[in-house]
Amino acid sequence: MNCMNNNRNSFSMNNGNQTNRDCSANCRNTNSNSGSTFNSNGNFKYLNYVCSVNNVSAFENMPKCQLMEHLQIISFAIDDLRLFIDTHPNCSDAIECINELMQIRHLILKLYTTKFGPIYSYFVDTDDGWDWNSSPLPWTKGGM
Amino acid sequence: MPIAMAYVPWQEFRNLDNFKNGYNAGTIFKDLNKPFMGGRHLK
Repeated sequence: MNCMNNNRNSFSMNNGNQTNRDCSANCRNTNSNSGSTFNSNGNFKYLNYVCSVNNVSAFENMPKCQLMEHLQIISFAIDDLRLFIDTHPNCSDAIECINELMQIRHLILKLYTTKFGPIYSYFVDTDDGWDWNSSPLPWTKGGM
Repeated sequence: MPIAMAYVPWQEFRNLDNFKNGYNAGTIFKDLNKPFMGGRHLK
């Protein structure tokens, strides 16, 4: 297999001659006042799909393994939504959903990194010294 | 063998599963969750 064949042209649905349907007519309109990230309760609309909490502050009390699990779950949801939006780039409901999930994921990632150390070496906080090599290692079950 | 014609309905943004189920099933869209049961079926 020649990896040069894996060029971006295979994703031409996303640019150039768009044959994408405007899905706004097809998609269920779940929010009458779309554009707002928060619903009337001040919470994320799709948070209850992530877990059975009604406020992102609930993540602050989660143990390390649970927080990591939620990070993995929401990351997968974003990956799957991205695939949907690749073929439905005009679906405003899906874009609203992925926007919200990316914000929630960022919150979880920030919280995890602050409490339990960096996951990506790109985000190592060097203010208190080098902590990239101080967390438990994955093959020691990551201290979970 | 006769030729066949296929039709795949356009997927819509609806019927989201909760994301933990989606993570385990491999899709967050209930419409796409078609587990291969190998002849068995869920009671």
